[in-house]
Amino acid sequence: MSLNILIVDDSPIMRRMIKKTLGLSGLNVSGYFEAGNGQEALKLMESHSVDVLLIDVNMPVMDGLEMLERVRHNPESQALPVFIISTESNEKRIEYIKSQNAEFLHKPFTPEDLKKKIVSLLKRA
Amino acid sequence: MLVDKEKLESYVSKAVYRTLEVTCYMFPVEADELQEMGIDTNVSDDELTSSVITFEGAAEGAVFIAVNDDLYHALASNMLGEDTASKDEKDAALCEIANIICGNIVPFFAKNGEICKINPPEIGSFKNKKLFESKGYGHEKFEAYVDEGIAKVTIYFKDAD
Repeated sequence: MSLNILIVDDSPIMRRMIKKTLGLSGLNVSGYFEAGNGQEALKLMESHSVDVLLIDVNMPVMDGLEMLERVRHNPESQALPVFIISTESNEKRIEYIKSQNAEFLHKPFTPEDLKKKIVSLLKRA
Repeated sequence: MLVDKEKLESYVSKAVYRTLEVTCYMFPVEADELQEMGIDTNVSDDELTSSVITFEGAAEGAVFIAVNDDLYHALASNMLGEDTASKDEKDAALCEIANIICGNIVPFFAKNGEICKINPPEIGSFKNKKLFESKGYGHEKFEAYVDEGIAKVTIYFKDAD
C-alpha cells in the first residue's frame, strides 16, 4: 500500500527530519504533505487525500490535541490513522490520545519505531 | 522539592545521549578520545552556542544546552542527512535537540503524572542563566561527550517551599 502522509509540526527542521526518518523506514510513501499547525493542516485536508496523520502536540494557533479532536468529529476523517508526537510521555496525555483512537509516538524515535507503529496501526484500521 | 542529584544525573545522561544517538547518529566517547580527535574538552562557556528552553505548570525551570562549534555544525547535517547546513538550519537543529531533551527531562520534576507546558526553545546566551540564578532556582550541570563534540547541559528548577 502506498501512503499519503501529512506531517503537522511548527518546526520546519522537524518536518524534514520526520520525512527523512520515513524515507529510511522503508515504508511505501507516495506523497508528503506538510503543515505548521492544526488549522493549516485541517485546511489542507479539505483538498487533499491523506492516509496517515503525524501531529506534534505543541504548536501555535491550533495545537495537536485540538486538531485531533476536530479530526475525530469530522465523519470524513474520524477513522483516519493518527499519531500524536511528543517529547513528554505523560500518562494522562497518553490516556487521552488513546481515548481518541490515536497512537502516541515518543520523541526521539528511530525509523524502525516509526515503521512498526504505522504498520501496526494500519493493520488495525 | 528535594532533588536526588544522582538520579537526576542519570536521568539527564540518558535523555541527552539517547536524543543525540537516535536523532543525530552520535555516540558517547570519553573525554580523552575527543582530545585525540583534536577537540578541546576544556572549551570555555563563551565559545559555546546555546539554546534555552523554559517549562512551567507541574514544574518550573529551564534547560540550557550549550554545544561547541564541532557539535553545532554536525547537529543539522546529521539530523537532515545533508553535508551542508545554513546558520538558520544549525540554530533550528540545536533548538529541536533542546526541545527533545527538555521534554524527556521534565517528567523527573513533574510529579504525580501532572503535565508541564514546554515553551518554544530559542538560541540564548549564557548570560540568561543569571536570570535564573537571581531567582534562586536550584541547578545541576551535566557534560556529554559524543563523537562529534561536547554538549554542556544546565538544568534550572524551582525548589518547592
